[in-house]
Amino acid sequence: MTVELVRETWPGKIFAVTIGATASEGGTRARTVTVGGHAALPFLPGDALSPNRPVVAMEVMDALPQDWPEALKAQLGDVCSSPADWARKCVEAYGAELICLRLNSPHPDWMDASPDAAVATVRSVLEAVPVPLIILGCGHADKDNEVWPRVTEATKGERCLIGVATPENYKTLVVSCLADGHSVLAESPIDVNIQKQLNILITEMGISPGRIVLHPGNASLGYGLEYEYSIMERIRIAGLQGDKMLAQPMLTLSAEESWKAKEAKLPEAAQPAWGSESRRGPAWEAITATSFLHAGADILVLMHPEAAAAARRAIADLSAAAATA
Amino acid sequence: MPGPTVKFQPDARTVAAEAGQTLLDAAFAAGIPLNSVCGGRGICGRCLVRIVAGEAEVDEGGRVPGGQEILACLSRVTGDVTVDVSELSRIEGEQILTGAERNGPFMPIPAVPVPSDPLVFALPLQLPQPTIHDCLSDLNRLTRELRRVGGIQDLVVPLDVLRTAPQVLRDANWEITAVLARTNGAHELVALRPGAAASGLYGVAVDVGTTTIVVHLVDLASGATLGAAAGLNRQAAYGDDVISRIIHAGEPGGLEGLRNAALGVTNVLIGGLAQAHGVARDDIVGAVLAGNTTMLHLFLGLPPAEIRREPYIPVISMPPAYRAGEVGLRVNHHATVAWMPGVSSYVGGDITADVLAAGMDGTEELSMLIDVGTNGETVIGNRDFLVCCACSAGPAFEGGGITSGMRAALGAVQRVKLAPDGGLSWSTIGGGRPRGICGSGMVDLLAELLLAGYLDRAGRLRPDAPVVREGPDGLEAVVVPAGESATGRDIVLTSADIENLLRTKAAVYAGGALLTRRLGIDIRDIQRIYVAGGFGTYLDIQKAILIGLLPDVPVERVTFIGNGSVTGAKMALLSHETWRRAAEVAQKMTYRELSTDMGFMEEYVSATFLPHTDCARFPRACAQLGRQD
Repeated sequence: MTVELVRETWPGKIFAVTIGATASEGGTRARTVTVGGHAALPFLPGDALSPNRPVVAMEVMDALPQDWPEALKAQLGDVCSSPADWARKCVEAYGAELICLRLNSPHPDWMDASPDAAVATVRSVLEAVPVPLIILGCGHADKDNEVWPRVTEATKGERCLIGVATPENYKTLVVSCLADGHSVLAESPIDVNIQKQLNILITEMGISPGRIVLHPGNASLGYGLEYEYSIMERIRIAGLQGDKMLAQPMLTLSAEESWKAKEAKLPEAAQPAWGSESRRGPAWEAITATSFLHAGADILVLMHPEAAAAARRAIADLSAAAATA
Repeated sequence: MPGPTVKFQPDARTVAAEAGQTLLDAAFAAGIPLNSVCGGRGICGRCLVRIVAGEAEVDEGGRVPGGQEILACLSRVTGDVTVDVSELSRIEGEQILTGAERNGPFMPIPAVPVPSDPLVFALPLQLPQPTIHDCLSDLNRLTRELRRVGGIQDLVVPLDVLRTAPQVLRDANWEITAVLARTNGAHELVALRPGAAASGLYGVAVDVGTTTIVVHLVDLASGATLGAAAGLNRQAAYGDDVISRIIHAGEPGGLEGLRNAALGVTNVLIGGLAQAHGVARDDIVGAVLAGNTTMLHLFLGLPPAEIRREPYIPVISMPPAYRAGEVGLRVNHHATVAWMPGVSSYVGGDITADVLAAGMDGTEELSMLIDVGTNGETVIGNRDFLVCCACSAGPAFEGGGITSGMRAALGAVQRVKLAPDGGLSWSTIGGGRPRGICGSGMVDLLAELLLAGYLDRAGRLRPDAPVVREGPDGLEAVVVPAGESATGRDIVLTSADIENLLRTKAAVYAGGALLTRRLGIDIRDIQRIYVAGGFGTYLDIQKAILIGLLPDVPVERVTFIGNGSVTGAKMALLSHETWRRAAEVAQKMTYRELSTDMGFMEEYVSATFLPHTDCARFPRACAQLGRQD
């Protein structure tokens, strides 16, 4: 006797968003990355197979936080002082499919770097790597609004993913992305309604819902993971049910959140029973990220090469298993 | 030595005051209710007065920069003083709309027949003179006659009424009128009056709202409403919502302060009405009050602490009637004071009154009642069942916490329309110069700004829109420029005001939406929606739907009943049968607790958008906005 698999079909479809543009498309990337396009929940054998697997992006910063974990410093070494070198290493040595460049230095409380300096950084990374770029602002609304238009202009044609747009600050970013052909990363505080409201506001400015990627909040293992998981799952189900304002691919900043956990970064000397932080940290990051895969995450932004490798293995295994049914 | 006195101009009314008392309190004691939205905390800047003679000690922040005016709430009596009450800060009792006046297509009072059998009534009697052969006591003589004439078997005679009896009976030569109250399951003798007259008895119906108190003065014999008055519930000084007041009641002297605050306003309003209509306070022999359960507790001086604590147990929800003297109501000392029966800690007698006013307990059709007050309540049901819920909505639509907000009174902007030139045109209640915006004006304003695209769906103003400018606290829409207003100040709607309104409308909508969901009812199955609340003489239902305050149903299904609380209380005052029905309604209403329902926050957040995050729930409204998400 065989057990018949239940095959679920959905009325809606998740938008496919392409990041990066090749020379023939007006950009300079060697390859592009397309996420989304799903017609079913992820990795379910028998359901509609997704045309696009989740991808691993690796995070690069133009300035390191003071409390940046030792385990990461030790792993990444000297390249952290140059965003271009760092990005190059992520692509060449660690197989990053995209680079997520975080522009910390313009923050007034950090280095208060000028928009010109930010543009120069972005250019250097673009030149250093052939993969598509995700670019994140510093989180200071006024400063981001100064930097964004310059960055989108400088990368015109490259079809980057730029963020983050929040309900409090989205207009400048959306206008800039609209003008220069980029996509918008829209962030909500782990709330399906606020995510949808933000998407409505963004699309009311004239950008197509197919040029948005969602970042539905920040959480990590032990720190709200299941909360964010359920919100992501609900967003995806709503999208598949036909809600176009929630039918976008999703991104998680798993590295950033994971390394905030003391369980990830506390040195072994301080807590011998927990074992070596050089293994514990990347494990925390990998578990956080791979959990979100099941909720429908399309882009995992990671930092530790071991976490990135583990996430890629998980994506390959899950996709293979789903495809064999 | 007598204490200081405060004289108020132009009324030339003088009151004795205590040193250190605020001018606001003194004005209040003089029966001159000053405008004071914050209840005397020095926040709202509405209680402006000018000193004509003498002095007062003005606390910091109490002086208007560059002007002669001072804030009455921050100015203290030090000696004899004469103050002029500014035109801006006066509340003319007669000018406030109270639900007594209704017009326009959306204001039909539901035709609920009320039998004429008032709660307190007069029975003229001619008692036989006592003789040596008919030597019954005065009381037995009275009860015998009441039994014979009125069939009354259950007379209760309070001691102090009895004390006056021998004199009244003999002075009137045994021709008297017994004034009887039908409450507490018996007939209670309220007064014995000389002469046989069935008229000349009055009653008051009172809506004791968290934000506003409304009083109607009623002729008990004819059922006519002689007048109505409204004032701000001065408990607002101790917090805008019931929870902060319950907390305050737990502090030393707190409960008494709260009781006096509400009682004081009510007495001032009753006094003003009685004077205006030539009615002696002593002839006011009955009162029916309606309010939420916390208001009931505070008014009667009952400790409300447990209302706030799980499992939310009130001292009473269906109180017996008390006499005015015990309660502190300044009407006939023996007048019966009854409260509309409530359901739970968070659904009070005001909602029972709403249900009676709408008549929804008597119909077969499934209807829904939405009371847009500081506490937002929803009732769903018909003659077979009633289910209700409550949520804290805030006083925004009553003018509270809104920069240019005011109650529905003369001079309130109540209609707003986008003009062809891109500006705003408006009209006020009474047609005079605008003093502020009332609830219905705010509904119109939000809808028009949204339709014009001056406001986005998250409630943010567009900086380049014609009526929008950068104000002291961010973007604001100028509704009436200073030159056209009665106050000499711009009438504006600020970004913070809009946020406030959005939160209030979201809470009101979310309560109803969740209740329908939990009952497994589709909003389309509801045949009639009654809307209660102190908006104004009119409420544009279509616009209320457009902003998502009301569910998106065909407009003709919605009936605006105005202040259902005072209407229901008045119906009970005028009809013992209705009073009896009120108890039935309260008993059969099932309360659904929302605070423990995980779905509420979800509903609430999705409703903090215009009209709603989910356009599928507002198909007509979204189509009007050209959106189909």
